[in-house]
This record gives sequence, C-alpha cells and structure tokens, in this order.
Amino acid sequence: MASDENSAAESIMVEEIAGSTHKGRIVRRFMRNRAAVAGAAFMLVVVPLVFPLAKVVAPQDPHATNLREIGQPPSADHLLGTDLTGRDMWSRVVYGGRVSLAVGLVAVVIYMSIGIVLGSLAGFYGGMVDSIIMRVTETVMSIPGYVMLITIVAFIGPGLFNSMLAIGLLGWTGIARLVRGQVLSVRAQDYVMAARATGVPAKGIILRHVLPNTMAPIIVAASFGVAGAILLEAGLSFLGLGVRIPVPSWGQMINEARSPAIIQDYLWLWVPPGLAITLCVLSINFIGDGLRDALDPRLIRD
Amino acid sequence: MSRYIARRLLQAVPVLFGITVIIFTLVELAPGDAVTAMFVPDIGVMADMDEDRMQALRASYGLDKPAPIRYLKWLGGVLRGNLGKSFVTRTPVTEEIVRRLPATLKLTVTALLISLTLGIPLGVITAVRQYSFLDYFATWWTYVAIALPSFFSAILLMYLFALNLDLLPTFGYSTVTRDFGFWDGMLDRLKYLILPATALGIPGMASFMRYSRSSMLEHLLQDYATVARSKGLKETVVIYRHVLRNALLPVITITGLHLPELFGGALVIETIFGWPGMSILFMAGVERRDYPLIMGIGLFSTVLIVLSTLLTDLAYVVVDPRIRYE
Repeated sequence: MASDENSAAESIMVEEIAGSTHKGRIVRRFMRNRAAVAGAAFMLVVVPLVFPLAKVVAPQDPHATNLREIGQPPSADHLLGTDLTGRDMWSRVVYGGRVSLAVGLVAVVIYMSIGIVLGSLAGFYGGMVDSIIMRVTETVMSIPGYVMLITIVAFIGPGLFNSMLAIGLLGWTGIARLVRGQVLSVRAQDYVMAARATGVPAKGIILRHVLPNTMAPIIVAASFGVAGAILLEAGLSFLGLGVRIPVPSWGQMINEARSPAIIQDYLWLWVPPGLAITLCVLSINFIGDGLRDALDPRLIRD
Repeated sequence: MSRYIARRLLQAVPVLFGITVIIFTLVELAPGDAVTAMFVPDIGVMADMDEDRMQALRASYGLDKPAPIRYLKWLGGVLRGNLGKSFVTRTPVTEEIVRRLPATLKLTVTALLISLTLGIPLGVITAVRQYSFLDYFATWWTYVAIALPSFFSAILLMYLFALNLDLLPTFGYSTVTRDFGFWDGMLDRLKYLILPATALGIPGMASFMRYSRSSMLEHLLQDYATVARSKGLKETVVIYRHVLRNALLPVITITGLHLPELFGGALVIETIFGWPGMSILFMAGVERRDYPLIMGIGLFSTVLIVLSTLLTDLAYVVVDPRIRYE
C-alpha cells in the first residue's frame, strides 16, 4: 500500500521534472475545463469573423437601405432577414459585433490601467496615499453604475470613444482594490525587501518585482471585466446613449426594435443581437472561470 | 454596538462628501450648459434668443457665478435638504424625486424579494444534491442568467407572457381606463408588476443561488457539521437546523453589495415597461441637461445605496453573535 503511494508520487515527480513547464501546466489545466475550451473556441471564431473577415462573411452593406425589401423574414438572400428600412440584418449583426467587442476590450484596457496604477500606488506607499486613494475608490463604488455611466455619457456626449471612456472611468475600482491587496501581500516578501536593500527605486520595484507577481488575478479580473463591459455598453446603447446611428451596436439594434409590434412580429430584428451578446458574455465568463482555475497555484492537482 | 454604528456613520461622511464633488465636477466638465441646451432643435423651448438674453437667463439660474461658489451654494442647500429647482419644470427636485420614488422602490424591493426567495432555496437544494441533474441544470442556468442582458430577458418575457400568451399586461403601472374595487385594483397592479420585477430580479437570483450553493457546500464539510452527524442526528436535521443558518448569514452582506446593481438595473427595466419611476425623470433630465435634477438624482440614489449598505452591515452584526465590533 505504502509502496504503491510512493511509486505514484515518484512517477508524478518524474513527469513534472521531465516535461512540464509552468506554462505547460497552466495550459493543460485550462484545456481540462470543457466549458472554458468551448468559450475560447467560440470567441476564436467570433473575433476574426467580426473584425478582419466581416467583409467576406457579410458582403452586403450594413447601412444600405432597400425599400423593396422591408422587414423580410430570414431567407437565402438575407440570412437573418431585413429590418424595417430593408437593411440586411446578418451584416448588421456582424458589424455590430465590432462596436460591442471593441468597446468591451478598450474599456477594460482603460480601467485596468487606472486600477493598476492607483492600486499599486496605494499598496506600495501606504499611509496617506493609501487612505486617500481608497476613500476615492469607496466613493466611486457606492454610486450606482448606470447612474454614473448615464451621467458621464450625458455630459461628454454619446459616441464610440465616449462609451469606452465612461465604462473605463467607472470600472477601475474593483481592480484597484485587488491590485492593492496583492501588492500589500507581495510587498512583505523577502525578495522585495532584498530589492529595496540593494537600492532599487520604488518604480523599479513595483514594475519589475511586485506587478509580475500579481498578474494572475489581474488577468482573471480582466477577462470577467470584458464580459461586464460588453453588457454595460449594450445597456447604454439600449438606452439610446451609446454609439450613434448608423453604426449599429448590438444593444442599439435591440433598442430600435422595442415596440410591441416589432417584438411580436419581427423576431429576427431583436433575437439575433440579443443572442450574440448573451453568447459572447457567456463564453468570456467561461474563459475567465477556466483562467482562474488554471492560474490559481492553490488548485494545482497535476 | 452603538459605538460601532457611530463609527460607521462617521465613515460614510467622507464618502457622501466625495460624491457631491464627483457629481459636481462631472457636470462642470460638460460642454455647454442648460441655457445652450435649450437650443437643441428638437427639445428647444425658445427658438429665437440673442447673446444678451442668454446671459440674463444664465444670471437668473445663477449660472454666471464661478464654479466653486456655485458648488458651495448647492452643497449648502443639499445639507438643508434642498436639492434646488429643476431648470425645466421649476419645481423643487426633492419634490420630483419623492413623487417618483415609490414606484421605483416597489419595483426594486419586489425584484429583490423574487431573487432572494428563488435564489436561496435553489442554492441550498443544489448544494444538498450536489452533482444531481437539478444541480447541473441550475448551475448552467446561473451562467446564462448572468450573461443575459436585463433588457433582453425583459423583452423575451414580454414577448412570451404579454404578447403571445396574453397573460400579463405589456406596459405601464395599472389599468387607468377602468375603476376596480380595492382587491381587484390590487390584483391589477400586481399583474403589471410581475414582468418588470422578474426581469430585474433574474441576475440577482443567479448570484444569490451561486453564493448560497458554494456557502452551503463549504459549511457541510465543517467540523460542527461532522460533530452533529456523529451525535447521530439525521442528515436533514444537520442540514436544515445547523448548516443552513450558518451558511446563509453572509447572504445579508451579498444583498448589500447587490443593491447598486439593482438600482441601476431598474433604470433600464423601467424604460422598457414604461414604469413611472425615477428612470423617466432621470432620462428626461439627462436629455435636457437639467443640472439640478441630474445632480439631485445622482446624489439621492447614492445616499440611498450608502445607507442601505450600512443597514445590511448592521443587520449582519445583529444576526451573527460571533461578531463584536467594539
């Protein structure tokens, strides 16, 4: 019995020494999560489809109206039918994906930068810097998201970049708190002490030693953040405060199809963009779950 | 206990102060002001205006003073409970908010009740029957529910229950064309409430379910549960008398954290169902750059959130005897 266990342990050790690097283990753990793999596969299809290949898969102009083909149901000519001004819905959904996904990605890049900078400053310096930054964070956190978002967009005006900026200005609080906590725990480690003792300046310590060791939870938070930002953009466009017509975004398209008559009789005007948002958010959340499990060193089961 | 309450109240003061600064700064950074907004063609109140009359109008609204002075004036009013007058309707903002508040509260509280009463039992059952069919199904459902945009689920519900099955009304707050008796009137208003409240409650339901499931699973493995089992107690007693109470305590905190999202979600849901709450007021204010109204609603909703978060924190202390904040 005991010798069995020993040999099992030995074979695991041999395997680890022989082949597996840290990256390899992460990839293997991610691949074991079927939902995460399905989500990643879905996004690997969707992203090329809406960005570089949009012209190929959706040759019809998403803005061209055609009054002879108004409100047609899905057919071979128009895969998802046409809207009430005769625009091809399939093209609109494909091009709408550009707006929705781009806003999601850029907004998260914006708020990650704000959150990482403020969080690491607060965590590294502590004291007054810390308490001022954390009070500001708490304040922003307690304003209801949509209230703040609508207020910002109402004042800086609706538009593609402004949606990104508004979501970016809103979302950084969670990241700032996360990074601060990580920095606090890393700061106490011996290797940071050693770097300080050898006279490395604070900026160097933060960028070289502290941040790389806090990357795992930041990456996970970023992936959930993209999903959240896509939902926020959709809500904002749905309220008519997002990207302006004629650039379609998925939320905007549902906004245009809000009257009961359209909801009842023209399903193809609102179901496809709604499903597109749901599937993308679902996939990205699955990827986030997979990354969290794969990157968490406490969950190593290899 | 009272010292803890006092400390928490004191901590809320800088947050509330910070909110007034943030909201005022946002309004200041905006290009144009309420007077220029009156010229936007489709909402313009006055079509022909010259520069002199615009200045006179600005002076009458107090917009000609420098920003810090206007901030202090506004803050002084806020502290006395006066949020100023709407630029458009000239009625006090507080009055407008108070008129719209009951509908929004009714919607959000009902949505919260729906998400708690469905989410918690589902979470408990799926934890007790881990890996059952129900567990897999419900876990999948939480993923979908979190990914569904609330306006999409609202329209799906409207399509299914109002437009196709014709069970519930599509829009509005109550049937205004007929006079019901007391009970039928209640029933009528309840029918109007069901769809918006369900749509608003779906994301919360998913997160309460997810939370109570993982909390139950964690507590089922703890020492006190093992002790209870080894005393010979039946598993149902262990689960429902011992584990349940401990596992569900933190749900109070989760509820508090969920409130801002709930209030924000109500803004979207109200516009879909034509619900006469704060959303209509807010969106109209945004469109017309009605500064006092926007600032008032922003401030009011945040104060509401800060206070209810405070309340949930205090409730947690009252309910859990292990916590002592002295």
